[in-house]
Amino acid sequence: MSSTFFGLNIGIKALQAQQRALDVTSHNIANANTQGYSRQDVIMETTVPIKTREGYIGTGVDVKEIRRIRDQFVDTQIRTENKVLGEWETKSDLLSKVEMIINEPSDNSLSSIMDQYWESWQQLSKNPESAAARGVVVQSGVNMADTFAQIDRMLSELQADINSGINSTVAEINSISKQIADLNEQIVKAEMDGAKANDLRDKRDLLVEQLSELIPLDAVEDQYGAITITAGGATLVSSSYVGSMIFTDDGSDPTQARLEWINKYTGNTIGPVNITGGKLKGYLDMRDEEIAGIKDELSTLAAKIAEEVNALHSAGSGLNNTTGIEPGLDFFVKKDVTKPFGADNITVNQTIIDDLNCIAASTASPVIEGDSSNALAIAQLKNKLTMNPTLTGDNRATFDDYYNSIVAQLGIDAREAERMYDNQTLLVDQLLNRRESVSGVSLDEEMANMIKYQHSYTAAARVINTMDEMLDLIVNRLGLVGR
Amino acid sequence: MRVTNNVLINNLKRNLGNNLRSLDLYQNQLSTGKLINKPSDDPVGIVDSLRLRNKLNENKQFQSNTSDAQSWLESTNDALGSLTDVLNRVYELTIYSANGTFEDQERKALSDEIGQLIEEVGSIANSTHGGRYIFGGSNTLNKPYESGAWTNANTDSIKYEISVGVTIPINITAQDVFIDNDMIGTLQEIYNHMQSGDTLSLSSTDLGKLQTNIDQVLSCLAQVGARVNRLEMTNERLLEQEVNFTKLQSSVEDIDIAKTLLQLKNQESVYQSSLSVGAHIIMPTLMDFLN
Repeated sequence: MSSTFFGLNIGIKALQAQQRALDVTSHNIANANTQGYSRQDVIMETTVPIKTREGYIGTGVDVKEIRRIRDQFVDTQIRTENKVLGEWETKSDLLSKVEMIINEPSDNSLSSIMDQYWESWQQLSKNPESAAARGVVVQSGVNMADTFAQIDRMLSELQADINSGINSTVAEINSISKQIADLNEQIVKAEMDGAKANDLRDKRDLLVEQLSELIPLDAVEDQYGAITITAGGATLVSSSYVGSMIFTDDGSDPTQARLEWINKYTGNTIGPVNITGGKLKGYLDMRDEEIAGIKDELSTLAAKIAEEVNALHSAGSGLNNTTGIEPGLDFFVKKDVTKPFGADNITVNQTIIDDLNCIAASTASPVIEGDSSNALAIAQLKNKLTMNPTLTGDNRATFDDYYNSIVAQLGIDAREAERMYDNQTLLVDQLLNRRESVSGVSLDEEMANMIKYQHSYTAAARVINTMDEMLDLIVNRLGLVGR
Repeated sequence: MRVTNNVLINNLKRNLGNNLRSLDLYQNQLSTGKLINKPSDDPVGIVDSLRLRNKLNENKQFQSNTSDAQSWLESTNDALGSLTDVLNRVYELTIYSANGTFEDQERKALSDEIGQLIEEVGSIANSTHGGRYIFGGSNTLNKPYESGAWTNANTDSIKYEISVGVTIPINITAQDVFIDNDMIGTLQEIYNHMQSGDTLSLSSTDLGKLQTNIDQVLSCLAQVGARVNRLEMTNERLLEQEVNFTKLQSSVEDIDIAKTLLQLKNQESVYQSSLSVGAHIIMPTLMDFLN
């Protein structure tokens, strides 16, 4: 035989459970647009029944769990694809900047300026006596050397910008790792009694996802609910431990700046961070391969132009060589004589700038003013096979060919990066949609749930009311006879 | 698949972004008129584009070279033409004076004209083009002929490049025209023989030598004519090439305006319909029916 108040008790449990469910619904609606939020579901179960002579009688309802609806598999996929997205997004962005620096096709690009330089020699070959034609040769030479230097400087500046990008990315990684470690601690404490700390987990998952765009990582959750993250060849987060990386850039040579793990207690570096993907790889690849490669190739081109022009020019005669003993000068000289010729290390000989008569248009020694065979030979370098892009066999390319292939390669790389970025964005967007379809809050559902719980609440209240009436009947109205 | 409000909104946002990007692409193409605005627009086309730009610049230079060469050769042609006239006049005078019936006095009078003509030959030898002595070889700043003597023995040819690796000599040197057969010497002898009344030498050796000199000048004229012809042909070829290169460059770099406009219009309507879809997504929810 059950107690008199047994039914009342069931009603109260029902009220509490429906109220809790309404709270969760309310929480879901409130967070419908919160980044990283997963919808929560109230799992109710019957409480333990009691045995009566007639059989088992239910004792009501209880909220067993408030469950976070989340698909771990999609999370893992998003993390994997995110690192590719981060890498190509960075590359695509930087390559479009390189394209702006190279500025082809245009009338002010290096290609046009090299054309102008060879044209000036053609003009001089027709008017070797003319000071004006000589002036144009010097000016176009200065212009070409300046353009090489300017492109090189802008590429170096871009490398330096990349380094500051890496620096802030490293700061972001360190900060996110710290937050994850903090959340690890909170989650372990919160979950000691077995309940899931849903909202803290959402926050942590969001952070891991943000981190996965910056650097490839593995995240493993232990039995207490803390996650261990390994990235870049070392442990980044383990429980409440945080590994730390440091980016050292002395500002001299941007490609020499290093990314290393650091021991937090001693401050010593432990070893290089091994970067295999993510935004960091995008940065490093661009800095050390793409941009450094273009700089090298432009330097090779500038050096070869200087070398070929100088070889002819220094063997010729300027207008000053009236005696036949005045030695020919180099047309291009190095700004810094200790280094080889390069895009950043080429300038027109100051002696020639000061005295246009030093331009050696003639091959005759002593000079013949009207002889322009040397100027013509220099002008013809434009179409001479001087470059060897494959570094084997004979020279197979002209200066123009070589430069055009640099531009074409840049175009191909930029296009690939753009395409990869587009594809990857699409892929990640689809995965995010997949997750949204699992974990996202549907307002319609929540509304339906709200009505469902509201009705149940009303019904439970009605049950209590009925119980109340029954008790009223028994307590207040029964046995009036004896009063 | 379970669809939530955010799935709809995310998709809408992405598609709007994509459509807007296509719009931007076509608008950019239309406003610049170019298909290739940066290397990644067409990595293969950019190579052609750059090469054609190089070729066009080069072509322009070669055209300027041929026209300069032509004008130099025209000066040479004029000078040689006058020289022929002078020599023909000398020839006439020599034939006159070889006639034994002439008085010595008359012959001397004729010889005065020869003297003037020798001066004329000297000044023709010093013809200039743009301040440069055209018969001076590469030594263009020194007079080839001065006070009866050859002062500039330079025989170098001046070469202009008229297409890749092809050069053409544009000058004829004093050596070729005047010195090889000692033109001044011949004229001087005629002068002397006229003065001395040596009709025999005048009619035999002098006329022969003079004819050799005239032939020499004519052969130089023929050379100049041949070079001018060659330059004209080259120039025509360069002009044809320029047209071809320009056409090719346009086909690589330029947009097809009609086509791009159509694509733009098409994209605009796609964008507008995606916007109207957006308006529908903010549609009534269950809330609108609850009371």
